[in-house]
Amino acid sequence: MLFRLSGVTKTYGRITALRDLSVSAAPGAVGLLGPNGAGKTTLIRTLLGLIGFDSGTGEVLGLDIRTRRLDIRQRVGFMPEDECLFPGVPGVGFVSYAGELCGMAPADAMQRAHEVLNYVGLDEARYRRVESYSTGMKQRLKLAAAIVHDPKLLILDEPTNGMDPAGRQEMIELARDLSHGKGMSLIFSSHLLPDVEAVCDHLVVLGRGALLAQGGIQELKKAHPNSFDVRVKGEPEPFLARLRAAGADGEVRDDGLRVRLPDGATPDLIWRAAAALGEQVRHLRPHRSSLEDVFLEAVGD
Amino acid sequence: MPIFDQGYQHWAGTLAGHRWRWLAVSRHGVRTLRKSWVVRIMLFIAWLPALALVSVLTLWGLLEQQAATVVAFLQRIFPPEVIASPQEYRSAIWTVAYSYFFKAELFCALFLVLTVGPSLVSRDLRFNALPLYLSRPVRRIDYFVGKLGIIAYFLIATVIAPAVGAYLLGLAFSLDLGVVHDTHRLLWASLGYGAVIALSAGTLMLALSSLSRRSIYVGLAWAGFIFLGHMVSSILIGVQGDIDRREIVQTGIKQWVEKNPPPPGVEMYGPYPSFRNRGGPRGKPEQQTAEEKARERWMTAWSQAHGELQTQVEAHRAEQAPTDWRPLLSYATNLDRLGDWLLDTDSAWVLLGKTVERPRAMAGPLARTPGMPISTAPVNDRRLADRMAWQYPWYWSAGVLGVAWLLSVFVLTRRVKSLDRLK
Repeated sequence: MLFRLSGVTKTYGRITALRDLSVSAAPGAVGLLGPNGAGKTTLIRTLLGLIGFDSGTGEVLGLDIRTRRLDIRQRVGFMPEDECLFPGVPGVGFVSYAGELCGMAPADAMQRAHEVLNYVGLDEARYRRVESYSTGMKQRLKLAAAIVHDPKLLILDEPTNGMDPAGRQEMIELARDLSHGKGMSLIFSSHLLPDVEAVCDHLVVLGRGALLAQGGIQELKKAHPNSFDVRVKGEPEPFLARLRAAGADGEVRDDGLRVRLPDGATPDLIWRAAAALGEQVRHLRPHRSSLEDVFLEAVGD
Repeated sequence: MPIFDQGYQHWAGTLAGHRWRWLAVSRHGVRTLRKSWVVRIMLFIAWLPALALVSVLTLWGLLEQQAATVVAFLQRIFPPEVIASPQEYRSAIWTVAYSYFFKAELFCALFLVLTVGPSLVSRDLRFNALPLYLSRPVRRIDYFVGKLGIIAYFLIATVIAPAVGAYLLGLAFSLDLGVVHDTHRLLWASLGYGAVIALSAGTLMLALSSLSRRSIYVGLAWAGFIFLGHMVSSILIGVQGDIDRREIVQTGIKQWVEKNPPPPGVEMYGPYPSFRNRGGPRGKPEQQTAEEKARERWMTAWSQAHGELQTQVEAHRAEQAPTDWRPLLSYATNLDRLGDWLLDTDSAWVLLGKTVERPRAMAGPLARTPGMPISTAPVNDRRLADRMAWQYPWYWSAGVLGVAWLLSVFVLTRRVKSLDRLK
């Protein structure tokens, strides 16, 4: 088990950040979604043992959060959302220092710093002082510092924040490579649904400190066997009226029609309606929930 | 695309336990600061007093072996009984030498802390580095101790290491194992005093450093706290000393002049006679007129009375010194007072004072200069100690430093928050 929380409640004064939260995840890439104030950062800090909680139990990588905080942090790599730097050092010094703080010997940390800086694409900027790095370089630097000690679990909090499209794509590819190519478990917290979808296999959706949805992304993006997305050459309204006359239902959407067939019907009903109306079908495919649908449905849009 | 791109490789090394995690913070800070040329210059300057200490201890070792050149040189400075049996004064001389060494090093240390300390926490706050520390297996106490270790490293390098090095050199030049018996206390006192300076100054600087994100303001605050405090303390001590002197000397000499009016021809400024118009070079007593003889006698008596009043001032100061609170306003003086106590400087000065005071009392009449009164001050073995060492209770300074330390820790814990309180 990657992590498991059971009945965890965390309050800051009158504000309840986590509300009797019970959630668990198996090793792999887990996306953490939720609107602002949903409790994502509190959940991450709870998993790292950075904050105490009022009630409940939990463990990360099989280690009790309350009693093995330092051991958890030694096995976990964390890339914080905020802009934060160890000042006055070059990139390679930054990363090797991060390794030393995790318990690496100085020589090991320095060697490993060079390796991971190569990996994240900062090899040519390694001797520049970190204060002079661009936003994208700082994000990659923080990623290098998070993986320098080869953690079992990597937690990325909004890793693509402030990055240009090319940098964002690189960051996504790095995260995907680490989780799918190198066997490192990942918790990926982001507001950007395409990023989560590109990297993660599992999803945890939080809202107001409670668990709203959880599961494999492919399972959550379930197919709807009687529902189809259809586009036609002409006006959609007459075609929808023809389908309704044939027993189907649906609605006009921005990019076409969503048609729900009656039980037992097949897409042949759509073809026959088009033929009867002399309409040309340009697009027909079974409807699957997008991640956005899942998210909006979970948070109650 | 690099020619040799090995991608991400797993690392199979071993991670250390959590007990020495603070050492990584200290090591990184020391490594970074040692690259600064300002710090290097400060370190060089801070080692100069150590050379002086080594010179003194070495000279004393050679004196104990009665090296002719050294004896010839030192007998101009020390009384004959000291030159004759330097072993008896070994402990006192070493103590006084260490005392002066630490006074100089304290000054250097406070400047060194000003050089290395201001940015230690303030820059971390400015660049928001705390989440990077605390999200790793580093506790806040590790962070504090690690940062304190940076200051301690530089203070150990400039205070403790030279003191121990000088001690070993002194041993080497004395060629007498009895030195260890006489002076080992100095070694422990040096270690203790160095630790006190590092702990107190280090924590205070870290607390100041946590109060601002700009290290320049931290440096100014430190300079203000240390140097303005010392200035205020010195001014208050000076003003009180002047008030005491005026009360005793001016009142006393005025009363004496009223009782003993000056003979004709003595020009007076208040109760003070002018020494300018004494009629040029004085002739032999038999050639002086009666008026000149009377003026001479009166002047001698006035000088004697003035000298006695000065002795009263000195006695008054010695009486007041154990309850004088003014030195407590200076942070440096508080550290100095603890140093005096740890090194037992007072006893050393008392012993050296005896070698000066007894011969003065016995040889005073022989050393009389024409026209100047013979000092009638009683033998006071503590005269030198009262002048050279702080006399107020050491635990007052310990209390002040203790309160400053507790306040520093409080400020530090409030300013360097855990992530539980960050947002």
